[in-house]
Amino acid sequence: MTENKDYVIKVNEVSKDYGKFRALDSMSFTVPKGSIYGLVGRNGAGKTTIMRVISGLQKPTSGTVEYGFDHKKLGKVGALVELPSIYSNQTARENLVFQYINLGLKIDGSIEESLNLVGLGNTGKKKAGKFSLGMRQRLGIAMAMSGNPEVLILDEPINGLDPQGIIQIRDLLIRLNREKGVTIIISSHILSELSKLATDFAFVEGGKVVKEIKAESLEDAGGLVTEFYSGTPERLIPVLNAKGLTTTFDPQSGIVFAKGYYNLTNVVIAANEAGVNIARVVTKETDLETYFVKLVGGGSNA
Amino acid sequence: MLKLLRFEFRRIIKSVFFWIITAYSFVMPVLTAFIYRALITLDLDDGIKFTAVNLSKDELTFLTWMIAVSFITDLPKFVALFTCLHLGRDYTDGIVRNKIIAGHSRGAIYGSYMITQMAASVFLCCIYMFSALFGLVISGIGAYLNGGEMFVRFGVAIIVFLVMTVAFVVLALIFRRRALPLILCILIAVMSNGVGAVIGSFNTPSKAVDDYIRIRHEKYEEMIEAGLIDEDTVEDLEDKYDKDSYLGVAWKLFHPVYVVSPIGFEGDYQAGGVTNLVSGAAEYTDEIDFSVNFIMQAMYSGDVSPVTPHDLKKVDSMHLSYAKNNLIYIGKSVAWMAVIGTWGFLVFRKKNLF
Repeated sequence: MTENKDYVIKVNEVSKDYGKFRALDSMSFTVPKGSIYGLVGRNGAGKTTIMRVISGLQKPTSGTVEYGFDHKKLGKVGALVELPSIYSNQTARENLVFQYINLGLKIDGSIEESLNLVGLGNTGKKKAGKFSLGMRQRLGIAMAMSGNPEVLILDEPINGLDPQGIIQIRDLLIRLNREKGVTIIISSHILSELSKLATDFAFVEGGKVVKEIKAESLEDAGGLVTEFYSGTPERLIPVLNAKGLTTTFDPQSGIVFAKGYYNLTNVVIAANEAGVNIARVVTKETDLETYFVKLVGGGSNA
Repeated sequence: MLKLLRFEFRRIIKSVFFWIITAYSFVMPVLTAFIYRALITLDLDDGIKFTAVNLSKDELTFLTWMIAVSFITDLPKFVALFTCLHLGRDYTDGIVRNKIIAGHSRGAIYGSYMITQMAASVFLCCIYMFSALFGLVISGIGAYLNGGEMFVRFGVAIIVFLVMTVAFVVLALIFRRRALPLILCILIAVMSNGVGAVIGSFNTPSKAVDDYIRIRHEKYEEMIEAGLIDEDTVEDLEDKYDKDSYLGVAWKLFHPVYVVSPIGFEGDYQAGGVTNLVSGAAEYTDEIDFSVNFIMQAMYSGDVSPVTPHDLKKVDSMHLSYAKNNLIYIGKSVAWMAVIGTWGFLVFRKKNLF
């Protein structure tokens, strides 16, 4: 029975030791239901380890993982950790048939639906071993999706993919999240991609979550900041506000700071119509990567 | 568990390698039967001719047994290879991880591998055995199963075979590196033939030696009384051919292994195929007769022992019926399967393998 909780997974003070090495150090975070939860951190920060613990591949040395659903029911957790787990000598369909048997599901037309959903509906008798990396990843996701999991755990799902593959995976995940309501926990080195997907972020460093933040809050904390240089800032500010930008004015330098994303052409046209002359525009973006570097310091080895 | 069993049986059925071994298990014994047919009927007196099959019932029984039970020496290397490659793929392709993530317990996963691999082994043994019988019949030699009793010994052979299968499964599951179990399993499979024959040759019980020495002493006493030999000579002979001369260092080393393990099956049951024909132990008997060892040793040594096979015929320690030996082997095999299987499970459950 699915429990009615607002979270899908709650990690409580989880530690994991490998001999003398502490991979996770009292890590805690909560994954809200329906979110796309991005785990950001350097190599060796503990992202994969916590994903392995959550997916049941490893037991924590201490601490607990609470599930907001009946996780003991077969297939309620779907995961793609490290590499896609697929039989390379079988076709995409046969791999899904195996996964259906694994989960005790009825082998029916939903297999074809899943294949079509991930764009592998036309692979026919081609063995998975001959698939491109992107196709393997998508098959791995299709397999992880079998049994309608409450949560999908994806460790570096776009790693090594070409731009086309990245777009396909991104679109697929967004669709799964929005259309099927699947909560997704995802880690990726490509922070720009992660920022396009995730609704929530956890920054992992030294086996701990150093910061949990919502995507909107991240935008507030950073996002795009534009410096407008104009001889008539008092007339420019209402124009910018009308375009949905938050403005601040520095009387000393005479610069108007505007926060938020906008279409520059529209702003320039609106300013021109209001009789405002814009002399210069400088944009500075605080993206996920910048935020991460500021947070944990050092190189952005995420 | 049932889902995992269904999963694994489907995988085995879809394995090309499994069907290659099955084909081998069918073809090889049939071929062997035809080769024997040619060998036992070949007449070179006047060119190359083949005579009619003319075997006694005893010869036919032994030939039936020898060819049909050869799965125990012939199949282990294939099963070792199959088990390691088949289960190894689940590691390399990450399928074990899939099963754990799906929510199956490690115990269920381990159990499903064990059950399906054991079932596959039994299937292959049965194919081999029945193909041998089929081959014997169609080659014109015929088959005699000792009134069906032979099936009991086939059953024992299969159970002994399963001990090896359990060991292969455990080795395939407890190592993350895939080459290591493969090497170990092949090594076990290849060595099992020779080791089985050697260990089986140390089956003589200590009690049988004591009884033999006692009976021999009584015979010497009679000879002394009859004036056929003097006491000093007897003393010298008894010193020279004492218990240690029969049960040497090798016996002390290998007999305990023989007692506690089913490794000696090949020797005890004459399941060594051609080896048995060459060594002359080509009989399908109701019991293991240890007295043969003493008579043979006396013949080839300076022990002028007056003991005859007749003297040892009614000595209990000299004989072990196959009915009793079957139970001993079943017991030993089941115990070893439990020990190896449990150890493997404990490692599989605890070790970070996925």
